[in-house]
Order: sequence, then C-alpha cells, then structure tokens
Amino acid sequence: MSARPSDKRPGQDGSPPPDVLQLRLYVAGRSPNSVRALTNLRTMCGEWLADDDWQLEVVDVFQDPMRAVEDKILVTPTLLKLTPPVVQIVGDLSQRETVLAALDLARSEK
Amino acid sequence: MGGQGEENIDQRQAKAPTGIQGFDQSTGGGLPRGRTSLIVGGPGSGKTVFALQTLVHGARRWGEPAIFVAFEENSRQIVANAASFGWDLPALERDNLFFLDARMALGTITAGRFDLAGMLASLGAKVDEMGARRIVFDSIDVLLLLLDDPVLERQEIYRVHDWLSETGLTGLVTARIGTVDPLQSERYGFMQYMADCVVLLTHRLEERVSLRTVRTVKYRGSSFVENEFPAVIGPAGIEVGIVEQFEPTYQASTERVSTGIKRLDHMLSGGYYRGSSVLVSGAPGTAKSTLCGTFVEAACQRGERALYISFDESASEIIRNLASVNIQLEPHVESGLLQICAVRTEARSADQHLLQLRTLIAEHKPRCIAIDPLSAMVKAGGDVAAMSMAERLLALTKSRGITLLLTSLLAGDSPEMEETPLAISTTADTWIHLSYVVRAGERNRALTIVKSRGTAHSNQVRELLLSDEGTTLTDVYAAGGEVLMGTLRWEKEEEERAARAEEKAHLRRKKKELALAEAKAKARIQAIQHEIEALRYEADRLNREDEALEARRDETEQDIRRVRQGGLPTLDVDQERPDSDPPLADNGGR
Repeated sequence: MSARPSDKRPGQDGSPPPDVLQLRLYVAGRSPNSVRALTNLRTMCGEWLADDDWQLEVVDVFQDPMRAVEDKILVTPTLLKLTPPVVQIVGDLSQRETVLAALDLARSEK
Repeated sequence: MGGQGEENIDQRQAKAPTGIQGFDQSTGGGLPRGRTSLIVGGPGSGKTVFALQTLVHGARRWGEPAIFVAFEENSRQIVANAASFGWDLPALERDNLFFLDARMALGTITAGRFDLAGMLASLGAKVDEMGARRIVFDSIDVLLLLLDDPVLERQEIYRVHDWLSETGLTGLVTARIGTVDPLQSERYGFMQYMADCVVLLTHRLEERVSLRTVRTVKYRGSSFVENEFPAVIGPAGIEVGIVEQFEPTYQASTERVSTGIKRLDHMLSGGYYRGSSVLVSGAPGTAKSTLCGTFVEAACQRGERALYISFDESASEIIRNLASVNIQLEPHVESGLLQICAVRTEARSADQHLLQLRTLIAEHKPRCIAIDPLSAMVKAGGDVAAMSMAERLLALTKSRGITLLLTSLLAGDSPEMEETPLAISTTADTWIHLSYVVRAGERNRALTIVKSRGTAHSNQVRELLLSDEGTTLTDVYAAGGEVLMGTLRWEKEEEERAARAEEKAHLRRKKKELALAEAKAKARIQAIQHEIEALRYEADRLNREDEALEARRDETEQDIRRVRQGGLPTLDVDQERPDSDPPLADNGGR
C-alpha cells in the first residue's frame, strides 16, 4: 500500500521537521487532466517542500484498474493525502491555492 | 408466418427485457440491447428501482451479469431497500451483480478539471472479470453536479456514452431532473440526445393517493407505445399498467354463463357470455351484491373457481347477508372453490388494487370474478387513473377468459342520466341497471338491461324480487307507459284479471250477436234463393206452355190439310216437305 518505505529522512535544515507527507495520485494514463495534475503537484511540492519531506505514489488506473475499484476511486485525477488528516482532492490541481490549503502547505506562504 | 417469426427473433435479440411487467410489452421487448437508455424522473419517481430491477431480472432470468454504479446511495442502502422486493440481492451479489460505490467521499476538494476516464477503466476491468452484460449508472447527475461546468458535463456524458458503445453493454443511466417541465432543461436535452431510449418516470399525489407513471419518450429504431402508463411500486418492484394486448389470441366465446337467476338468464338469451364483462349499476341497497352472489354461487355449483372481492363488507358479513336470500356461499368457501376477499380501500391507489387483483388471479385461478363495488376500487386517484384502470381490469380478465361482474354505485335511477364515473359502461359488454321505483308508498327494485353486446335481450324493466326462497324476476306490467311493481303490480294484476273476464264475456256476447246476424243473413239469402227458384220455375212453366201451344197449332194445321186433300196424304207430304216446318211431327204422327 504505502509504497516503498521512505528513504528520505525529515528535517535536514533548521526548519521544524514535519512528518513525511505521503501522497497518492490516481491518474488515467497520459490523459491531459492526469498529466497536468502530476506536473502541478510536482511543481507545488518542489516549491514548498524539501525533496525528503514528501513521498508520492502514482497509480495508473489503466495499468491497474482493479486497484481503483478497490480504493473506490471515482474520477481521475484524484489525489489522496494519506498522512492524517486524510484529504481527497480531485481535479488537475490547477487551482493552486486550493491545493496548497488542502495539503496544509499554505501556512509556509508569506 | 416464417418471416414474421424471424423478425420477432431479431426484435428480441435487439432488445434487453427489463422483466418489468408491462414495460417490456409497451416497448416491444425492453430496452435497446447493447445501447444506452436514459431513465429520467423527479426525486422518488422510482428510477433506482427501475434500473435495479432490470439488472436483477437480467442476472436471474437471462443470465446476464450486471454492475450497478451507485453515485447517489451506498450499496448497502440499496441492498437494504431492495430487500423488501424479495430480490435476494446478496445471493446474486456473489457472481452476478456487482455494486460499485461511487459516492464522492465527504469533504472531497475539487481543484481543477477531472474526468471519468479512470473510473471507466476500472469498470472495464470489472466488466471483463465477471462477463457483465448490463450496467447502471445511478444517478449520473450527482456526478455532473461536481463538474459544475456545462462543457465538461457534455464531455463526460460523451465519454460514458462512448465507453458504453465500446463495451457493448446494455446501459441504464438514471438522471434526476426537476419536476417542473422536466423535459425542457438543457442538461436533459443533451443527455436524451445521447441516449437511444429515454424513459420518463413521474410520481405525484392526487387526492392524497400516490400516483406513478411511466412513459417512453424516445426509442431509436423501434416502435413503442408513446402513452403515459400508470405504474406501481408493488411488492415485487415496479409494474407498468399497460392495457394488455389480447386481440390476436383472444377468441370470443359463445358459451353462456348463468347469472344465477333463471329468468335473468332468459332475458339475456342464456346468461352472460363466458369471458365477458358485466356492469351492475345502481343505488345503495338495490341488490347489486345479490347479483354478485347469485353469479358466484352459480359458478361454484358448476364446479368452477370463483373470486368475490368486496370493498364494503367482510367475508362473514357477505356470507350471512346473502344466506338470507338463499344464496349459500359458505359450502363453496369451505370446498375452496370460492375465495372471498374483503379489501380496504384507504390510501391505496387504483393501480395497487389492480396489482393485488392480478396476484389473486394468479393464485386462485378463478373463472368468474365479482368485484363489489368497483367504484370503491377506482375512486382513488382521479378520473384518468380510474378510466385506464377500468380498461386494464377488463383486459386483464378478458385475456384470461374470466367472466367479470362489477358493481358500481349510482345514486340516480336513470342509467342514461348518470355518468358512470368509471366510464366503464362503454367498455363493459353487458350493463344491468338496478333502481328503486317508489310509488304508492312502496319501494320496489327494478332491473333493466341497458345493453348486452351480441345478445338479443329484453328491453323491458322487470321487478327484482328477493326472498328467503331466492331471487327472481317477475313479469312486468306496463300500464300507460309505466312499469308497475309491488302492491301496484298486484292490484294491476287483479284488475287485469277482472278486465280479462269482462272482455271474455263481452266477446261471447259479441260472438252470439254475430252468429245471429249471420243466421239472419243466411235466412235472407235463403229467402232470396227461394224467390229466384220460384221465378225460374215460373219461367220454365211459361216456356213449357209456349211449346204446348205450338204443338197444338201444328196438329191443327195438319188436320186442316188432311181434310182439304182427302185420301192422298203420303204423296202430299213428300211434295210439301221443303216448306214444311214440323216434318218430325209428321213422322211422329205416323
């Protein structure tokens, strides 16, 4: 489930070390919405988090359709924030502010 | 023949039966197979039941595994709701019915555009895994609401439609639409364009009774009945009330079924036709139930199964009351031939009653049914419902060859004046009207046969007599255009008896007079005859006298000649012969 165990340790700088942010993104192959979502997510996390602080699993429902059935994934792309509190975000993540707030990254802004 | 049979098979292959009673008939076999149908309706109109029922029947009866994608309710709720229909979903769920809970989790955040590609991919895997043939999306609008963009909505509807086309599944997509002019909304307009078949369900209350309808709005490449049909959600799911088609197979019977009243049988040339429908209308207390009683009793006496449905009284009341006029139903109830059903009318729609009746018919298999009164059965739910209800009831019994007797409450005395609220009078084959005639302080029951199709029947009004001996009709006494009954009838009878005696006496007198006149005339004829004879005799006499005179003159002349010629009489005679008038007299004289 939670992919490979983290090979990145938290808190390298002086900033308070958050738990590793575990994310899972369900995509539909290379469909436009899915591709955009992946790009947007990587960009935001890259901007706000150190590489060690987040971990992403990408599930392609075209490759593993039964997984989506089991996880009751309805639409693509769907992003799950697995680190409590669990949050489900749907869409191509183009609404940047919404995503940052939902992932609790916005507090670092300003 | 053969060609038509093949066409029917093609037709069947092109359609996926829903197994919903009535709907498949109205669409010639069900929903388009391998295509998308849109089931639209307001909240609570039965879309989910319709869709689920189609899947359950498909899986159970025709071996077509199915997937139910639940956007609105979770699958546990649906299974629980369906339990009341006796569909036993858990048994099906193992291999043949899969529920996909597709409710967006609470608190789901939308951040940009999304689509259904992922879900369809996973559904595709599931379809392959279980070999699914049917699928339901219930309901698509919940999903579309999330998209919150008309362009995206269309795009996703296309996506679903394309996916359904590719997979070749028989798809049912339900959509909730507003109750006000539902077919005008833009969203609906687009969805219906995508669908090959659109079925509209409605639900409303009329006179506090729940009324449901089903209407096929569109059906590409197929004929269908476009009418709005009443529907019920009964104990086994939705049932659509179509007028059953029985023309091709239905054979009109010429067999007669006794009314249970000998003289009424007589008036109807032998009784009701087997498989026909009879309406008995009348005011309260005019013995409508009695006619029901005699009818079912006669049926049971012939050994036929009968069903008596009463909305007024309990079974024991009916048995007791009818026993007082010597209609004995109890032995038939005990033998099992007769089933008496007392039904409550409150808060049930006409369609629910019809549904129950259908079940009763299936269980008891009666050949004769009496419904007393039908007016109670159809009063629920407005005129339109009642009308179609009546038609469907008649079709239901006719197609099964059941003879049906219905009673209907009418306040007035004149059947033509009263608009039978069911308008069933036009559909019924025979219409008997019972009324009270009040005259000289007496109420008497009168029976009129208003119509009886295909039967020579008496048009006269008869008096219906009930007594502990039984029920009978009496002869009518028409006087001055009125029918007389009761005491008046008796008086009239006496009067007529006296009048008849007088008439006879009068006739006798008249006969005598005539005989006398005849005798006189004959005497006159005789007298004249005598006169004629006398005259003839006189004439004869005169003729004879004349001849005698002639003869004497001839003799005299001969005597004179003889005297003149003297002694040569023979020669003289020869010479003179050519002139001689009476030669014979001459010879004779010799």
